[in-house]
Amino acid sequence: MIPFEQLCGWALGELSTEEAESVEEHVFECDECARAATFLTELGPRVTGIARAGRVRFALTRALAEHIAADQLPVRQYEINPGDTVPCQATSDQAYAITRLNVDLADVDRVHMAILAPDGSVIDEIDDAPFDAQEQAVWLAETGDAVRALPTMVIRIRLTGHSHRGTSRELGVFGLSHTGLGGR
Amino acid sequence: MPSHARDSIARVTRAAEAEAALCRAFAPRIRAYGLRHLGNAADADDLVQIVLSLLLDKVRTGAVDDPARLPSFVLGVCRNTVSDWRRTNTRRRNILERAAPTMQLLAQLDADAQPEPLARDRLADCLQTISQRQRTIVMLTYYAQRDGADIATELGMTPGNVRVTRHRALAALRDCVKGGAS
Repeated sequence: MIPFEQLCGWALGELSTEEAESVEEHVFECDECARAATFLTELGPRVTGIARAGRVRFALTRALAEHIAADQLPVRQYEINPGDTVPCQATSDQAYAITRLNVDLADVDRVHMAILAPDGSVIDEIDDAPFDAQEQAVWLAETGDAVRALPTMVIRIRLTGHSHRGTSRELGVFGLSHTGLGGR
Repeated sequence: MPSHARDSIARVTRAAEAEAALCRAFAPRIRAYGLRHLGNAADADDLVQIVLSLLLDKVRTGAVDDPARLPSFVLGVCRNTVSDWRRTNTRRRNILERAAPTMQLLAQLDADAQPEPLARDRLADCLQTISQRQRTIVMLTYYAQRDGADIATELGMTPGNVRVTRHRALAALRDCVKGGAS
């Protein structure tokens, strides 16, 4: 069996032509590597299907936000400035709730995101959230299923910025005033 | 039943089982090759039908001298077929019409195979277990179809770092999905 990393390189098009042909010759001979190659090449259609069905929460980047828009997935979009709270509500068919948080990212190398319940407890957190320094924004895509399951409540998102020099500062707290399905 | 009729039925049954075994062995490999080089499932499925049809023709006409060379033969047919398709689509349509009986065999194999339980659900659950950064890289790779250099720019990482992180994410997903299956 050849190393899994080499099979990854083949599946992702990272190898030279010569290296790729050598991997292919092995895959056609080796049952275990054939299974691994099948898993890797089937990921494309499967991950795309999962994304389109709104089955997984992920931190957005501008490229992903643009792709979701181009794919015409049913989404609700929100844009929040620090200190503000916006109303939000799930629909029965939405795949994602996409939230754009506008922040000052000067001197920030890493962003920590904490999603807080009304009592201030942490529901979830992302230690290294992708951010767009050019847009001065951080995005989050929450699944439609998760949003539909929420009761009426105010959710807060707290962003903290960290610099490579070891300093950190709060970038802002953003509120989503959520109305549960059926007003519950 | 006369013994020669029984013998004929036994031979045909063994031949059909042998063909089914060949298809089961090579169809996933051909599809993986097709997905890698053609980029979409429909084209990969066409490749499976065409290559298996050619393989079965070779086996049925007794043209297989050394079964140990079958893997390299099948890979060679895959490469030549994809290379032909990149030149013209006409030849492909004609070959697909001739591959119709193989399509029926493959449909029967699919019907007989044990379905992989909750495969997509399992992968969705496993995606939630990897880190957010790994998950974002996986989504950028497969859903947004960005290459490593674009992902590096998007996330403020080096291309080498993206490659390592992505490989680790795929290994974690494979282990998680396999762990669920076992």
